[in-house]
Amino acid sequence: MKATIEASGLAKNFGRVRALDGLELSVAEGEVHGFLGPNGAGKSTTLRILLGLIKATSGGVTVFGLDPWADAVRAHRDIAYVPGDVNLWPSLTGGEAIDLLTSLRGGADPALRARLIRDFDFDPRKKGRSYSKGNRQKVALIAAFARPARLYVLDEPTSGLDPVMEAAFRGEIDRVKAQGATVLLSSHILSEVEELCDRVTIIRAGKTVETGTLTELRHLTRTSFRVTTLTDAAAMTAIAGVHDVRREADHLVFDADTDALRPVLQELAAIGVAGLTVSPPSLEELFLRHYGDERAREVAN
Amino acid sequence: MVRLLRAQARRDRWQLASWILGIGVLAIGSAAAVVQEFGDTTQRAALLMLASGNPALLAVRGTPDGLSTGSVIFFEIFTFLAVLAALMSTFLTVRHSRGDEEQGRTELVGGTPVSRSTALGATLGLGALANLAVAIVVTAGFAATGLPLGGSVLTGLATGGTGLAFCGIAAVAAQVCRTSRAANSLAGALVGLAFVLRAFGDATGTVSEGGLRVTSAWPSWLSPVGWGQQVHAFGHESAAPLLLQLALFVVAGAVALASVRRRDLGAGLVGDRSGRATAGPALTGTLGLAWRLQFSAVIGWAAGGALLGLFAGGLADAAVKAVQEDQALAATVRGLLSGSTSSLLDTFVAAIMAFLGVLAAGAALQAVLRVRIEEAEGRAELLLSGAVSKARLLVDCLAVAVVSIIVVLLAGGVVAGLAFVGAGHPDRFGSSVVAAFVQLPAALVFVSVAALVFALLPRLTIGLGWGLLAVGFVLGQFGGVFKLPEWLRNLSPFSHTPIVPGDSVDLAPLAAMVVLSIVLAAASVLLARRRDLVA
Repeated sequence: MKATIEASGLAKNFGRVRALDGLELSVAEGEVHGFLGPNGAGKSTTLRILLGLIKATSGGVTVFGLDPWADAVRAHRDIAYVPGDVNLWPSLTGGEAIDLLTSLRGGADPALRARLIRDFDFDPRKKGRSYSKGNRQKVALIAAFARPARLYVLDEPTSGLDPVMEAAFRGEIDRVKAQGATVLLSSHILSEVEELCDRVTIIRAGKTVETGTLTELRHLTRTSFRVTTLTDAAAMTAIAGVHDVRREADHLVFDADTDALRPVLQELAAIGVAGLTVSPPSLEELFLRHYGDERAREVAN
Repeated sequence: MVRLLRAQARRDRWQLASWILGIGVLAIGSAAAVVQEFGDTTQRAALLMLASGNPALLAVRGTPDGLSTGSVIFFEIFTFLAVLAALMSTFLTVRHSRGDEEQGRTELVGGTPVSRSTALGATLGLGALANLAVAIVVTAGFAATGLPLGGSVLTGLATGGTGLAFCGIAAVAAQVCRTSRAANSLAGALVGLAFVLRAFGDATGTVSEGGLRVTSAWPSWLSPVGWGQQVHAFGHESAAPLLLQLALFVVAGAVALASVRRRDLGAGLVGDRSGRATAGPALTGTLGLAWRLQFSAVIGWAAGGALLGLFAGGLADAAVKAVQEDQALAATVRGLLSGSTSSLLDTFVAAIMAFLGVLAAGAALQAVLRVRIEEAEGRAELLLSGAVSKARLLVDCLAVAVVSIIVVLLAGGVVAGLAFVGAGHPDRFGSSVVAAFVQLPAALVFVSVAALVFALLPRLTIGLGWGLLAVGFVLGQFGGVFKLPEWLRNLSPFSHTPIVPGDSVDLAPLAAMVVLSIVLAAASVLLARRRDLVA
């Protein structure tokens, strides 16, 4: 597969602060790629470099095979972008802002624009200063989706939207994906990424810590068990790959590595169980594992 | 309320301190200059007689009231002090009332157990304190020059009182308008109106005491600035007009407080109409956007320019007539203008047009600074994600800046010309327009310097842009009054604009300024392309 975005060894310094420190990112053509990381990890900085708004201090980056800094205007004809914090012109109406932004890429598809305004339940006649955060985000989203693009770069696009609008947003992602477009979606809303993305890159402190499909990443996570039983905890502790075993009243609570699931299930069958809750590994846990050690260090300090 | 007041004062400490200090420096500087320049009575008499025979001078400065050094200083500078205090108060009040409401800070405060009107009450209190500080600074500045204390105090109170009155006016404006921008425009326009009413009343006043005193006509009494002037410090002193200023503050403040108690958060008397659902054909691309954002501001600047034009063309005739009728006065004027080969009329027009040049530079600066505002407020990020280069964004704003200059100069020049035609001088139409357009190169210099700052030191663009214009304005227009050394005055582009209309006009400095501007603008476009977007 051709790579739409290819970044390697990407570094960016802001004065003495090192915002990116050898970041790797590869987004294949036609995929929806999740870009995850906690606040301050360097997600927005990376996206801004991809758009040529800021220049990488070192490292190589291409978008459609072009240098996004030198060939920004050429690359942008095929890119739709939604920034994380949308600010509008106070004196322009929402409709005017949408038309202005799409005109910079060649103009909106009128039918598409009308449908998006309806789907996102948006009033385009109000002045920019009177829109809430969610409505400002809708302006950027409608402007992004109202003209087909080859690449959609979305920086936490749903942070101000309510659940109904999130559903409309997912519908648009599915639509552009079906049309063969590539999507790079930064987020820390894990459910959004789990539902939408083919592959995920997780970054922390300006470095890529994990990349792969969700299935691949799930191998790295643990499954949580909550068992209603009176049996002693010792049997579980003996199994390799079982962690944090503790008793909470009638319940035995522990986490198991994916490799340990088979012996755990055999053991559970043997000891007699009155109730069982198994939580699937979520990206939350991925985050906790990747940032947990850091947090532990912070607590220690 | 005290705690809110303290918080507001803390937020403003640098801003207010610089306003107050600036007013103090202007007071002490001009007082010292008058003492030095018009040390003996004959010089002061000549100045006053020249002024009382020249409605334009009366309109700009105010009315003279006797020969004492103090009253001449008061005549020379009071209106400027008063307008500065009024502007300080306007911005202060709107910033903390409608500005806070717009930014959501009022909502935050409103959630705590304080009443809806407490914040505005604190703002009015802060305004009163700031104007008290202005009064003290002006009093101290005058007294330090060796002027009688009584008159100094009266001048200080009249300056602070004007500011106080505009605290009240701005508080009402902030209730009427839904945005701080609109409230600032409305209150700012009222400051302008107060100045113009006073200018009109003073220009049409009655001359007495052999040209040493002018009594204002009634329009001056409609203006808070006019009231301040009517204290006649160091002359026929009267503290009564201060009560008018205080009363206006109390009444307007009460109206604003009553309104804030009754209305919804975020509501105003003048609401936002709902606008277009789609962009018009003019709003495609960044050039259309730059023009759209600047359009209403240009109209405002051009209206100011037209007013100056009216001033130049309409009052010049009266000024010249007054001089011609009085042989003695004519002789005095000739004496004062020795060295200048231009006629009195030409000098007068050129002086007004110099102010027009400052307006044009202001309009253009606003247009070019817009590119930085777009960047700082994150909208440039949206624009640049389209097929638009950073260079293009700057070039579009520069283009709108140049158009702004032309519109303002055209408005001032053509209106001045038409006013001359109306006054029976059809021959002066052309020269008036030319006199307006020689101001273009100096304005271009400010635009290109601001663009260069934007390219190199983006975070300083706004402050440095307006700061340089203010410095250029003071050095260029008041450098002579303050007796500043020539090299310092020559730093201001305005100092290099030749006197037009005049007999010998040197075009070389104009050409040099145009070339310099083009070079600086080109450099800034090249540099802007190479730098990161900076929030």
